[in-house]
Amino acid sequence: MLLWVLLGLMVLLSIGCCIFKDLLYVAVSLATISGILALVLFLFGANIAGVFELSVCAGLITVLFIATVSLTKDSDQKVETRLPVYFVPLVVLIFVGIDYFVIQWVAHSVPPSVVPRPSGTFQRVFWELRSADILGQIGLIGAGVFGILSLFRVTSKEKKHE
Amino acid sequence: MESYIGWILLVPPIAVLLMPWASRAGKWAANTLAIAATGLLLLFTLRLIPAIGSGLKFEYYGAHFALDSVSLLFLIVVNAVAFACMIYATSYIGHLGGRGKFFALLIIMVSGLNAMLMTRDLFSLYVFLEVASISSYVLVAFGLEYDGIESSIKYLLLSAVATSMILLGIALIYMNTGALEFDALKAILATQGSGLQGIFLLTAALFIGGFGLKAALMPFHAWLPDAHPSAPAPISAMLSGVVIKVAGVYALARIFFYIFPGISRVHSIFLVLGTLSMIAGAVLAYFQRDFKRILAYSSISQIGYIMIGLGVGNLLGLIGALFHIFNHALFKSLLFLNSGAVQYRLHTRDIDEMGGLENRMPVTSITSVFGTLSIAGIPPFNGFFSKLFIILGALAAGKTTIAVLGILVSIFTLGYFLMIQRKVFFGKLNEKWQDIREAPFAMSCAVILLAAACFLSGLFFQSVTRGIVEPAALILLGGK
Repeated sequence: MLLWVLLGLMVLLSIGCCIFKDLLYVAVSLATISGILALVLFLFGANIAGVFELSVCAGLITVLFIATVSLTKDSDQKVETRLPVYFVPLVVLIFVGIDYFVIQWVAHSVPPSVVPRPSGTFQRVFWELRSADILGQIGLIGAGVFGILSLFRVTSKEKKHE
Repeated sequence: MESYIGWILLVPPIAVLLMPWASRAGKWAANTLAIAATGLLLLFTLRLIPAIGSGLKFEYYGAHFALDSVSLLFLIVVNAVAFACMIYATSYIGHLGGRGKFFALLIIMVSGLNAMLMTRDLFSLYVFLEVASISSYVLVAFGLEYDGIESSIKYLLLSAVATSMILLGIALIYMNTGALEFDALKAILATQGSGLQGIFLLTAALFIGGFGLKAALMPFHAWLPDAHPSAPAPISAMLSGVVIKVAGVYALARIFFYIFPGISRVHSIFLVLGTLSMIAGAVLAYFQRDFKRILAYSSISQIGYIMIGLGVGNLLGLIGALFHIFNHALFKSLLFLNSGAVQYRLHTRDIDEMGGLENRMPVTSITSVFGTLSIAGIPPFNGFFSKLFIILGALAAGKTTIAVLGILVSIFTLGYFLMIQRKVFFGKLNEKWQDIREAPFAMSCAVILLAAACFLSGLFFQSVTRGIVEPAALILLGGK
């Protein structure tokens, strides 16, 4: 029953993400979805996935979303404070630190049986069995970074107008 | 020889890391780095050709990559087209700005496709597919104009549906077999296949839906006619020439011929979807007036031919399908780059506004004729031989109706491409275009390279098919 309630909530919040006009509400809804998904993963016994979902998606990604939303207001709206500019790197650093400790904790405390088939520790699964995926993750981060830089760049036309 | 696989994986991240500094140093530095990176990728790929038939493996810190003839054929296609597009982009990107960012994203997209071709793990294939896809969503919107952003969002949303289906399929496979590596899955299916038949049919449906959407097969094609025309020309060429083939056709061929071979119902579905795409793509292309949109619909039609070759499933059909993948990458990239050159000078894609450009843009005009003759299947251009193999394969499999339809659609294709030639390059010059000049040197170089490749791969089709296509077809048929 609890599972169905959680899944239903996720669906409702997903719909909310599509209909909210304020991007801030969308970011908060996404964070809540990630939090609920983490809970679902814990209920299924997928602790590693749950911890990552909570720390990376509900935590880090939400901060990045909210920071981006606050930095990309309409051009006629003045940004009242430059606080996000200093705030974002600090928060990112905090989350990277938290993730480091979480990985350390997961590596030592979660039994290997949560991973259905591959035998061995979390480190073995992460660094040895799935190391090709880390290369893919680096590619994804690269695509994301250059993607944001590209989409928020000043175009040649805008430069000419200036 | 194995080290070249490592270099193919290593060159893109190095180039992407250096790109911000190179673009700060100047336009020439960014151009040189981008061309050098894709040139090296092509060089390393070509150096791997002697290894065809033997198969290569590369392992680094537990990351396993391998190369067989199927992967190598697609690698050649990806890196050859990427090299030509990069040369073209060095001139083209000037009017859009963001040179370094564009090159970095294009290199990331190519690296995702290359890694996808060399991985031997179903989940890693999904991860690298996402690398290529995310770069391509941004590249479609790179012009930052309304239609580009709109089609990028459409592409993103439909791709999200596709990747959800693919991921669910992978999860079902893993849940039932406990394996993700291609060879392990193949071995499990060989021993326990009959007990898992139901679940494989479900995953087959998910994979056909997911990868079919990536390949823009009818009826999963809705994103393509918007995304390809509104992207910058080098990206349209990459998307139509390469991305739909690797992200869609390669994945389908690898899964349904190499990992789970012999599901006859899947082959029938390929035939139905292929025939539908071949006919509907050509008919819809005929009614368009946007140069790039015609090419986009024509891509759907040509993907239909490829799927028919795969669906036929005999050696002739598979050689035809794989050779058509190679050929279509060359001539469709060429035609998209030509349309980009015309748009670059005329600032319009409406073919009714054009006319008489053959004297103003002779290189673009002549290379466009090469592309037209290739796509329409006129001998001795490459498209003729690949379509011939597909049609012969269909006849050998007793699919006479499909073979006849293939011939008719090829004639129809010639018809609407001649219409483009007449409306764009021949006839009376529109007065508006009196002062139009040929596209810049780098853009002309790129189209000349691709036109030469179309002609030479047709002229020496036996060397190409025997050298790189047939070994790949034999692997898909179950050989080593």
